[in-house]
Amino acid sequence: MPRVSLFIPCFVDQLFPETGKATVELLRRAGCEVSYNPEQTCCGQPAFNSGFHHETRQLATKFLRLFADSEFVVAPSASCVAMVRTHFGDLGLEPQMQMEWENQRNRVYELSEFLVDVLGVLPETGSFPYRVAYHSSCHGLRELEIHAQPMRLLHSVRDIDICELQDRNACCGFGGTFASKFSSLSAAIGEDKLDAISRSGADVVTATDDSCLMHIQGLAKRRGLPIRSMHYARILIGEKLA
Amino acid sequence: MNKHTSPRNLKQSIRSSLKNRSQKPLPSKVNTGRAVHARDLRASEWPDFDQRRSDITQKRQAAIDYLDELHARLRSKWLENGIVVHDALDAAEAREIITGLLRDRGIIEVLKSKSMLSEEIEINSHLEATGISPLETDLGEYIVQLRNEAPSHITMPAMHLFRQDVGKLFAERLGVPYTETPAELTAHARKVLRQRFLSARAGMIGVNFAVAETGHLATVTNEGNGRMVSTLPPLVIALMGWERVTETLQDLGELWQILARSATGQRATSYLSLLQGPAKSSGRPNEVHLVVVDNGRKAIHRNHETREVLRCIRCGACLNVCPVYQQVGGHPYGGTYPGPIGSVLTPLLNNPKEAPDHPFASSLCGACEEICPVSIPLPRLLLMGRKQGVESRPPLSPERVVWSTFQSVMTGRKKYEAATRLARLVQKTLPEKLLPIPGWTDHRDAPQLAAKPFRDWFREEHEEGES
Amino acid sequence: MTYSPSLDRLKSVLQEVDTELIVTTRQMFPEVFHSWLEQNGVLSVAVGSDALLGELDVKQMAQDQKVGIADLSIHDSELHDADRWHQILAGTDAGITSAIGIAEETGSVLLIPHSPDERAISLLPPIHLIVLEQSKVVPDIATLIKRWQDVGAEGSNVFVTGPSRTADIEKELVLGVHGPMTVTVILLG
Repeated sequence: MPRVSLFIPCFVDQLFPETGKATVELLRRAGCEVSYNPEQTCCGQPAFNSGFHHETRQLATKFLRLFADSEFVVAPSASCVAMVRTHFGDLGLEPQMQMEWENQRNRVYELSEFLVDVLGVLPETGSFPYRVAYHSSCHGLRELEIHAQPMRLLHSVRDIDICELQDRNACCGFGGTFASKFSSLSAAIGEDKLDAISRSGADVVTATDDSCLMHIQGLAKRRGLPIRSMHYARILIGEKLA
Repeated sequence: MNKHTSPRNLKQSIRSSLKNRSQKPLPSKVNTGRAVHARDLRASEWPDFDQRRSDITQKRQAAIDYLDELHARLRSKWLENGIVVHDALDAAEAREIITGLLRDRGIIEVLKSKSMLSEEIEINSHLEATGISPLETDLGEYIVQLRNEAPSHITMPAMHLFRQDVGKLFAERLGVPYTETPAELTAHARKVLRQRFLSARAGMIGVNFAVAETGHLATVTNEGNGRMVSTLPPLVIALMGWERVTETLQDLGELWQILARSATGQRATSYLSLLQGPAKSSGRPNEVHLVVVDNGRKAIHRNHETREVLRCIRCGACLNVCPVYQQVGGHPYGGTYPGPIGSVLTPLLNNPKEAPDHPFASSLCGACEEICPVSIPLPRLLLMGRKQGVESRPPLSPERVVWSTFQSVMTGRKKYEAATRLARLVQKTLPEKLLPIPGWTDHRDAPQLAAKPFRDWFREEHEEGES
Repeated sequence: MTYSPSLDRLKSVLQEVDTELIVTTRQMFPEVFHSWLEQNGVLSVAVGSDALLGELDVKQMAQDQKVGIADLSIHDSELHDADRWHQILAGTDAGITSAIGIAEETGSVLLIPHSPDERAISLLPPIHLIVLEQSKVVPDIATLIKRWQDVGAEGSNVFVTGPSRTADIEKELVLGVHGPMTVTVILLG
């Protein structure tokens, strides 16, 4: 039985616990033993994104120590996984930690790539009788080459209607601290994404990253559009739309 | 004469650009969309595109790594072929050299083929100040020159305009009846410029690549103006960035093809001109003067972390796919080069303190790296720019305090849980605000902190029974 | 060593770069050439000193059709006046050259510069005609460059792919800017 250590990023923990819950459920259905170490907090991406490497190093070191003995580390967030797999190596970690990173990076996965590529399993899904558009979050798409995996999983959901989304690979404009530093620009990019989602006829937009989704949802709410955003894990278990 | 906004004003420029939008659809979205479509079509014609790109990248990096050796070979070829070489340390020196060449020969007008380097050294305003007229002959450059604007794109200078804008401009400035048909507008430009080509005493070209094998100066164009100004006048001034060197003619062939495919979606541009030097006996050009410009490139080269940005072949593809560029166009970036490559280059070519915000004006989506024909890791270079920006600031800047606090909170589970409990309480009173992200709620509703975070749920669920 | 070109592919590639391809034989060339002169309303030509054009005696053929020749030799005297030569060329209807080769993949032609003055023959007249043998068709740019390297790769030269063009206004293609507006290739089998 594969033993999975969950990595639930800080914002998922605090803002979107449903994503975490759905992740646990899916991994169990896929036959995994799931553990969660509450010492975990953050991979350091926000600090790194802002250019603060020293502070990021502390958090990266903490992460690497925490998961040193894990067989698999799985997270429902492509951007956090990309941070760990790609950018921890750019931080100038001390040699021992650098080695630990070389070691560990091959065991850290985003949820869909773990299920589809590593386990080769499509867990049993619930029913989700809604029109769904999939947005390709940039880090997942370009840094981890994740695209086919979430689509396969979504296609296996009962009663789902997957809509074609124009410019699916276009950035939503969140960009981490970019959303704050260049707030109007971030929103303008997001508005175009929202227009495309609207045109697709979808009730729900989904992605590998709750960060993108929270940005899109925030824009939709402000505009008064009935579009809902949900991480694909929640769709897979057939969460009921409120 | 060309107005450059200062790179320092990036944030304000972006804000005004967003505020002052009159046209939807945006030319910066429509025109770049067409460019990307054409590029994708041509890229897909090479079944081994990724391999070919990888080979070209390696060759380009090798050329960059051996620039000193290649330059030594070039110098001897240039000497052999009669090209007079001037090395310019910086923009000011380049301007002096060029102005001197024209002034000493009593030349009062120089016809220019497109050169982003000539924009970088700001030659036009300098020449005008000394009584020499630079006349742009590339259609896009000609248009922006008439409008007293800087080009807004690396390969498509008038990207920010629709046909109606050009129609109005030509009617006003050329006195021709209003038309908005590109073919008719182009015909006007052709007519105006024809006699100027024939009577020009001096031409200025931008060199895309110098070939070490033979000493040829290669210029990639479509309109024929590059050929005109390097074939007809007695004096040709060629302008070249220090790093624009390739070893062999075969390498040049590969670079030309991938440049054409990436920049304009062509298999090959209408012309690849190869200038070896002045005419050996009679004929034109009588003189070829080459100005090799450093202007910060050697410093970029010496730094191994930044060196790979010198691979850039100035195709402009990264601009076309950039979500930021698509929203605001090229002018807000200031400096010479917009888009992702500009956001990396502007702080490096100027003082980074002159362009502190450029590395941050990106969502790091990676579309630029994905399309780059020479595989420049632009997002990584932007992140490095951010790090350098932070390191050059005073140690106790307000933002540092924020991130130190962040790190401190995140390092300890107890601190993290306490902080988030506090945040939950605060949100009860300020539900609209997403506190850690200033600016969020200007345009978006804030998500709510969940009543029960994941960790609490997991702990409870684990305590209740087996996991 | 000899490449068997796909003339169909070459024709379609040239069409995509707005270049007409006429495939004929040496025997039929005079007729084809006369026809081409008429169809394009060419009343004056400048002819490069490429060997093939000399062999075919293109100048004579043009003169037989009462087409004027802009002749470099008239101006190639002690008083070499490039400006005058350029004005004459600018008023000439068509420039005729041969080429080192043509690349099937892109439709690109590499010219044979015999002198600096000849560089403008393929540039100033609004029509450019390229006459070359079928044996000069090569698969791609790399091979075309190799052919040039085999003969020393000397001199200023140019790869020409179709007429001059621009898409600087809204990315809409316009043919014929500063360089020639029409390009034709006659291939001799």
